[in-house]
Amino acid sequence: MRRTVCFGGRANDDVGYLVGMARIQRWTRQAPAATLLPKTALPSTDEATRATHRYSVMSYEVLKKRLDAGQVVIIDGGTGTELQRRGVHGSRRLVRSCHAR
Amino acid sequence: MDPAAWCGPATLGNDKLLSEIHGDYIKVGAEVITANTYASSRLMLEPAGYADKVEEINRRAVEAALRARALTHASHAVVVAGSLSHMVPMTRGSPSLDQGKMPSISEMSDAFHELAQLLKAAGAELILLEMMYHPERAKLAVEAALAAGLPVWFGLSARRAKDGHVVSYHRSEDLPLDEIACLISTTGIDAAGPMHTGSEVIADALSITRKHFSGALMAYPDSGYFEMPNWQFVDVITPERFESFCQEWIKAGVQVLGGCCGLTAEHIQAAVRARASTSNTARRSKSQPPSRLRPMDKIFPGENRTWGGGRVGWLREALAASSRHLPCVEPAGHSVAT
Repeated sequence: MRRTVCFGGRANDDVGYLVGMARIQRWTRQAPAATLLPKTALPSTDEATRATHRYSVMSYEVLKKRLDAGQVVIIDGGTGTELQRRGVHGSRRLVRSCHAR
Repeated sequence: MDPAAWCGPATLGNDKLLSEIHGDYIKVGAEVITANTYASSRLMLEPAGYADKVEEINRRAVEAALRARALTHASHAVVVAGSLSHMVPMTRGSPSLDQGKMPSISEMSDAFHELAQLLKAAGAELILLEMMYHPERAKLAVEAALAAGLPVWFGLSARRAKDGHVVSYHRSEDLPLDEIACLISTTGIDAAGPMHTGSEVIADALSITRKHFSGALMAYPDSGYFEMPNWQFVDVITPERFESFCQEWIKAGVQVLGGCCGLTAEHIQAAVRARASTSNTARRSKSQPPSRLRPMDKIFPGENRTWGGGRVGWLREALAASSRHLPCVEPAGHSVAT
């Protein structure tokens, strides 16, 4: 089942980042995986809101079709070890800028 | 990292950094990003004092990945996976399990089901079973993941035993990897293969996986080693070396490629390069012989040549033809008559 969702609705409106994220949270709890945003949801001047509008979701079905077609898919690297590498140690986080690295 | 629960509790207070990490992976080409939920089942969080934060930690981990996808201006689309492992409490300063804190079978089953449902509720689109190496626990994890109703990928972990055979990662005994690979269901699992496994062991582990699974193969090795509660970044494989491994794995049929503990965005970038170079090679070999052999066309224009038989067959044919046209040239391995 494919479902379209539009965050904010109007272009250049005042829907903020937090509101957008709250909608993502609520939506992701309700929506099936196969979802694409319509291009008409764009644009917004607010960067975060625009990013939310650009919330392009690769439905898992699309990924599965690529696998069935014999294509190679790239998965990420370590996440927990990367937290550690970037300075997170236990409950305290060392002050170390990732950008400085 | 947390002395009792490793990276699970690290999600709290590090949401932004987690999103940055996911974002960095997306920027270099990752099409599947994995939420930081590997060590955040109740089995790990409760003994560490986070029993009341199991839902929050897992939800925030998935949200960090979703946020990274939303905020990263990637040229490609991305799937968010939730990691589900059968990790149980470990003894501090060692890679061994803490036998005094081993949960019962029912506790494990409940915890895996709970985590799978939390991942789904938080918005994960795929459950990535990671580091399956213990038959009993892996079976429970598979059942829980499939019960959630999301697509499931199965990552098994292997090591090389002292006799040279590739066995399950299980530390205390040399379990045949077949005992883990046979758990990969014939239905419901879309990809499977070795992960959190040394690069030099991956090829053998892939062969064993293939015996039990006909779907998409995956491979994402680790590099370094673990001593609770920290990863030891020792002798980490270089991106260049990793790239050459990736090329071999793609040729062996691997379709899901990436990295596990110790591997960074640079390694993922190398995997992307390996995919590009390998597919280029495949395209070229399908359409025409290697370009450096093509000038032979100019030597014998108008001859109706077939390229079947591969590069060696074509070369043999060309050399035979050349000996017809130019008596002084003979195929390699033949002596020239004097």
